[in-house]
Amino acid sequence: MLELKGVVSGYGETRVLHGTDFVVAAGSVHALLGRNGVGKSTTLKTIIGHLPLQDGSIAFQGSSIDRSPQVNARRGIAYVPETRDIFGSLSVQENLELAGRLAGVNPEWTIARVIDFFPNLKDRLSNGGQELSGGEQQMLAIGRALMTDPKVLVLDEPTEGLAPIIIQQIFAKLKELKSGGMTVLLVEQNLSFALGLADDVSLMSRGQIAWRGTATDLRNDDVAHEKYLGV
Amino acid sequence: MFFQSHARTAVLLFVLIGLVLYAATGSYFAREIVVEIAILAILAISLDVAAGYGGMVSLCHGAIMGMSAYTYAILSVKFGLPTLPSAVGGIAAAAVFGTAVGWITGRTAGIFFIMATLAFGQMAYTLIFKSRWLGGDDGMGGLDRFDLSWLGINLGDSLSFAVYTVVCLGLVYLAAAWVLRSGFGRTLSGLHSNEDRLQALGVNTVIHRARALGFSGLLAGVAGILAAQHTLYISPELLFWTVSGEILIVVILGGLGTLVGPIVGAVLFVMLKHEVSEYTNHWHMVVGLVLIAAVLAGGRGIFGQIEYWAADRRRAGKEQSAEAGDA
Repeated sequence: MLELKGVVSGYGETRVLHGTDFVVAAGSVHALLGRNGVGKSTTLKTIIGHLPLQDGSIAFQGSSIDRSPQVNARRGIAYVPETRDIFGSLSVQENLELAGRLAGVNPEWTIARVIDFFPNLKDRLSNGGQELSGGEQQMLAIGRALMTDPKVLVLDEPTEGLAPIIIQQIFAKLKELKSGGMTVLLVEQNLSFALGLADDVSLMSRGQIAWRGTATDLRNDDVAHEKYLGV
Repeated sequence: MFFQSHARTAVLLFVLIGLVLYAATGSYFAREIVVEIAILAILAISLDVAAGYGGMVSLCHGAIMGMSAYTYAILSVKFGLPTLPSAVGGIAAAAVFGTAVGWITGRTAGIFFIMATLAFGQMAYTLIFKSRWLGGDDGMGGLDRFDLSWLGINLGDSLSFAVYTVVCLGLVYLAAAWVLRSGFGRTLSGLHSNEDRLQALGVNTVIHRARALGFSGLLAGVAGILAAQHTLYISPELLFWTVSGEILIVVILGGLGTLVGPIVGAVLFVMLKHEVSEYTNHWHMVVGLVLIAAVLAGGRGIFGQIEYWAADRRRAGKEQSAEAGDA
């Protein structure tokens, strides 16, 4: 579904990715892991088009991604940033409606379905985006991404700063999306969260993929653990 | 996102009715002040739509208004068209100019956007200033007001004209409120708070910026027609950047992003100007001091600050009653 080959990218003159390759298979959850500063978020921003691709290629459903985030979003790449970025001046309902304007005539995801999926949002529909708790913001950010009827969901550290009970809820919801056939690319620091969801894992180190395998492989590979994730 | 609270409706009606009463009971001079306020308030609403809701602080709204006034003059004086189609043409020209500026500057933001709009405004100013056909710095005269005699209204009369501009102000407010409450208004809010995120949701932000400035231009165009009909003479000064600066001052003074605030700001600005200039020529200094005070007080503007206090008191009241409920 999503294929990166020799991707070079970064911020202006500073290069962060030096030839990143990996493939996200349709219907799978692919976790991109590694220590801080190895280029995980940069990879995601390059995929959606916020950062320009300096070399290499990124293909989505067989054709190259666009330079504009807006076109990529229309083609079905939905991005949930680490910062969640809820529109604070809009209510929960308006945040969802805004994203829903993009979906076609018979959207798979409607506001009703999102609320059904995240019941916590139900009582908060008329609340302003600024009034939500961290967990509610994350649910809204994911719900907003779903409203665009995505083919792949790109999540940057969805558990960051959340209470364990909320993390469990989000975990269960992502599991539900996965069993529904959603393709997910996940960047996460919380290892057990990531391994519990992922089919495939890529470990990043200094802007490249240093190890790849299945989540089960990684569980049994103490060396990779130590080398790329241990602190 | 825009919401029309009861307080906003009350202040709006209070000001509109107040202006009509002031014109009806006052002298010719009072009516001139009402017209000045109404035109400035329309411009300020127009800029508030772009800056307060869309985050696009423009320094070319004077030029947009001037484009409308000049198009009105060209169509009616040079081409001899009746006043109504000339006015429609003028408003359309302002909308097109606004859309074009929005489209071209669509990828710029912050200080660069401000500078780009300043440049566009000054280009339009220079173009008209240098044009002999348009009278250059002498301007153009020979304009007419609408003929509303079929309604039994004579716009040549100063009171009727003052009331007519206040009615236009009310209509412009309704149009702005209606558009800001639509889905487009939501997109505009999103544009203001996080353009990157909006793009990642698949929204074409360039088109929406262009549309926003186009709509804002349309409203400014209404002010341009009124300005031309008011003095029946127009000069390139209408397009000069200081006019745009004055509009921005009015919006900030009243309260950015409140829609009612700009009207309050316009009343205050014009009143201050006329009251203070009776005592001193340095009325700009007094306006400046008020502006500094408003900005230092939190930048919410006068109406914005009052709304903020009211919300604060409501919150405090709620907490108190909640505590009482607990006990």
